[in-house]
Amino acid sequence: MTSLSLKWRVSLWVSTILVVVIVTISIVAYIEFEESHLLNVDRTLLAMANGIAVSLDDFQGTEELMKEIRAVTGRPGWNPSTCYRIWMDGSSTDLLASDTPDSRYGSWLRELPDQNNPSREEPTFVNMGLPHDEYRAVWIREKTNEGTVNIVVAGPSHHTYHEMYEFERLLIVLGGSLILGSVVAVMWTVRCGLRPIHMTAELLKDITHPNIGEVILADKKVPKELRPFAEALNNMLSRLDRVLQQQRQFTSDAAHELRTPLSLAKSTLQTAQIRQRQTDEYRQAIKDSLEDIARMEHLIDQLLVLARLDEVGGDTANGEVQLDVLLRELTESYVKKMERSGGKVIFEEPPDMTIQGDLDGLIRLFSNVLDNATRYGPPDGTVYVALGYGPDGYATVRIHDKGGSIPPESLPHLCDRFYRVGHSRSRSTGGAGLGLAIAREIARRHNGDISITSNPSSGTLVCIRLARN
Amino acid sequence: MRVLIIEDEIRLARNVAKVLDEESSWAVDISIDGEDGRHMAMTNPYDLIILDLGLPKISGLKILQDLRRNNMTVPVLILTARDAADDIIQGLEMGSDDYMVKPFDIRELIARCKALVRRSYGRATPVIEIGNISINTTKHQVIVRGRAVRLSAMEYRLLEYLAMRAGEVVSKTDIVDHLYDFGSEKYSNVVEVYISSLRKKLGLDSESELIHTFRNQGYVLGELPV
Repeated sequence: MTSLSLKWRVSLWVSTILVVVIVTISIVAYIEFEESHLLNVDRTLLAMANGIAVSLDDFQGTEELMKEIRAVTGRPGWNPSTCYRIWMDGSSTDLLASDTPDSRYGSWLRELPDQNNPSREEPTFVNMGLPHDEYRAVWIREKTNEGTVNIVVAGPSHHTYHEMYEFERLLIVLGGSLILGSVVAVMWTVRCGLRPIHMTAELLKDITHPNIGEVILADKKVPKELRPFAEALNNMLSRLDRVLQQQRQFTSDAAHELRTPLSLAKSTLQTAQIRQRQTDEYRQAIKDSLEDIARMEHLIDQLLVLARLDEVGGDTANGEVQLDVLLRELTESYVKKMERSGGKVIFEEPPDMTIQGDLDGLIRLFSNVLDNATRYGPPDGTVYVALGYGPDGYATVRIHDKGGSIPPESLPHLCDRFYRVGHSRSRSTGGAGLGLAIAREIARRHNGDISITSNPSSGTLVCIRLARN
Repeated sequence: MRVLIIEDEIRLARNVAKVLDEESSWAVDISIDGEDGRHMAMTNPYDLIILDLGLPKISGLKILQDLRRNNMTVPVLILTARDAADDIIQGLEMGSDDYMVKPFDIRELIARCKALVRRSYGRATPVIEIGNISINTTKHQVIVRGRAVRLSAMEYRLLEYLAMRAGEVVSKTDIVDHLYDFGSEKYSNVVEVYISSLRKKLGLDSESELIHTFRNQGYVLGELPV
């Protein structure tokens, strides 16, 4: 089943409510109208009946009575087809009647309900006749010396019904046009209200990654109700734009970083090729080019690691990792490296600690930080590695080198991708500025973080916090 | 001709320097950071500067700006990994003469360098003809009266420099500044030795023919200035 559009749904609801309201009002008005009209008829009929009753009281012969009755019932403006019937209780023949019992009106007058015993004070009103020829009758009883006299006076009431029929038609026409008008108005309003959504949709259709930052949805035409929607969309667009810009920056930085070793290798090989050389020179060129290729491989490896870490919900192998054992093993490999240049790596005897995490990722994390500490610290200096519990129960690894300090303005950017301290693009130290960025991503994957402090007197301290489960 | 390469990738700089020396027989200086590079560019009369943009200490664009602000007209070729059109336009608008994106073809780089230097001396073609001497700066070929003459690297360097400035008085200091790189020892009396050996090899008999000596001023190749 296809769902109706909002426009039609709102219109349907509004028209249903209007129909109910208008019909209710019409019915009430109709009933009121009918009652008030019939009341008029009833008063006239009752007045006639009472007039006849009074005439009966001072009865001066049938002739006189007939005259009186004619005077009472045949007054101008009143329909001449007014009819009446007067008879005594218990008698089957009429004292007086306007019509014979077998005539049309006469027969109606004889079909009165007999369960009532009306009086002058409590008259009984009866509807009779046929459709389009309705009659209203009043029936009273008057006690006289000769006995109780019944008086029925009936008059046509079809003009009342005619007026009511007119009223009914008026109600239908008025109500109908009201409903129709409201539906059109509602549809138009809904349409106007929805126009910004259509406009927004048109705008959204044209959005592609180059122009995503230029599209602004909220303008003055957007109704108040839709403003939060437009603002939310704008926020989303600007967030996406930021992400795209970061991505673009990342791609261009990555290309830049790859170009350097590539141009080195190319220039080395072209230099070797340009004229006849000694075997040694060729050997050196091959060795240098292989080093450049190794650098490219390392960079591509790092880029891939970052790309995988960036994947939302990318799966990480989770298992129990014995941090103390892992750090001891890692530190040992750096101890040998540092000893060659007269330096030291000291791993303070750690507590046993097991965390839930990704072993490969953690190895990469600590290696990257240890690489930095042993590379940028003095070659004959000492690197301290300590494992402990943070105040919040997190596993905390502190890697401290007494090396040169990092300028304070660089500290917040150390974990940014491709960031190198002091705008140094020199590759003599090797890195592309991705090691710490990768380390931070891995720490975040373990619900942790990395913080770095540095000053000339105490060196650089990298503090890695990791959730234990 | 003397060239300065400001490039922090020392191996890349050395490769370019080596090829420039071999193929153009130019004197080449290398600087691997911005500060040192700017100092060298400001204090030596280079015929060309090959400039990287992402340099330690001072950026390449800043060096270029400082050079032009000091009215130094030395041709500058930017050699960088930045390939966005905006970067290239910015580089050229700030006063560079050419722009090459890494990775580049080293032969193309050499050809562009030669063209830039040639242009800076107001020459449109690589062949310079003076009297009966024809010097092909692309092939390093010197032809005198239809006969090819073999010159040593330094002799060729000297002849090419004098030929580029043919008709001008070229001082010994200029010659030394443009023929030797920073590392070599500079003896101005060696210039006289090269001049006389050039005269011999080119078959020029008297002092007045083609290479004129002006005592205490310098040398003029070709027509004397009016």
